[in-house]
Amino acid sequence: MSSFLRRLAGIPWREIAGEARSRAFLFAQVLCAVHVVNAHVCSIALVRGPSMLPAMNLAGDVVVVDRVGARFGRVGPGDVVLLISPQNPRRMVSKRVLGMEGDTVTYLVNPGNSESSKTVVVPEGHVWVQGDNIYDSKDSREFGPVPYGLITGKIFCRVAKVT
Amino acid sequence: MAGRPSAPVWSSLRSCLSGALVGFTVSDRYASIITVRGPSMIPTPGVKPGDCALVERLCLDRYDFSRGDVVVFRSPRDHENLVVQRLIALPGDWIQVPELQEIRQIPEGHCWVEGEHSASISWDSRSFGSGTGRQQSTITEVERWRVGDHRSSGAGKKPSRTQIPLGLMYGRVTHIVWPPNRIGRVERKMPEGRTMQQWF
Repeated sequence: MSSFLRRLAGIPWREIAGEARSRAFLFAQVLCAVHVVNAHVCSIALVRGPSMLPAMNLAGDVVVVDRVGARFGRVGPGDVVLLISPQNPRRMVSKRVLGMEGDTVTYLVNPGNSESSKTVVVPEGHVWVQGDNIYDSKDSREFGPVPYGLITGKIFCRVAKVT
Repeated sequence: MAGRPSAPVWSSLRSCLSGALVGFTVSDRYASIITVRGPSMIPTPGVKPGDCALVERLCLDRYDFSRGDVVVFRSPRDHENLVVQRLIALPGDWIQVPELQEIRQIPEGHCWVEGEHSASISWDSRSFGSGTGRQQSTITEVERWRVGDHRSSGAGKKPSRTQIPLGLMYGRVTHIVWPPNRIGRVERKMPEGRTMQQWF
């Protein structure tokens, strides 16, 4: 029994605790660095759904999202962006920007069934987003121009396709 | 060897970098401190320009806000500015809008915020394609967006009320931390008789 206690006392507890502390701190720093890069610099996302056909795959695409450009307002018409859905803040959707604030946008109201179109001026601070596949996309034609603040990133390239 | 920073400089740089990383992460995910300026940040009763407020950001995980919270969100008209107002109604609630003399239901994913300010454009919007199913007349969409009155500064307080998507939320103000005589909790308060919650 006493030999067991002697062996316990011989273990360098302080050094172990110190090393554990520094390892834990390093691990926390790595997690923080990953978060900062993911949220503010660039990120990877999986995008799927029919609304951006044919540009994006139905089964899914792994894309790289640029956060810096969107944060500093460098989003323009023609860009594909990732934004928080105005109908459900816990969902992200990807659409193409068709008009910035002040632009006039004309769109087909009911593309499958009729030729009627509407024209709208995008208000201040908002953007008009539409999916490339206008027959199967919930976008600004349904929920209106979205505030720029909902845009979280600009999609600029695809790295893999999900089959 | 020439040009390499010496060890103390290098280690202090590294600790600055790690402190910045940890600080950014905590500020993004847990809590952050903002300074309320006016009129670009619109104060509410209980929060005045010049205060430093503690903004809690854990609520963004599930977007669980309560009616009467003081919230901070990105302005729908200018994404770089933050606005401080009180959240009055959640998705599904019915709210009475005095200026328009109507009662409207907040659509899914949106909320209603109100604040007081002394100089700004009070901006009112109708939700696009409101799900009432009514046949719309041939007014163009442009007319659906109405801009309220513009008052010059110093002309007195004019309440600002708008409906915003919940995705614009930045956080919830829980405490005032500066100036010292105003340190304390920011309470939830609801205006009487304006909203009716959805019970089904």
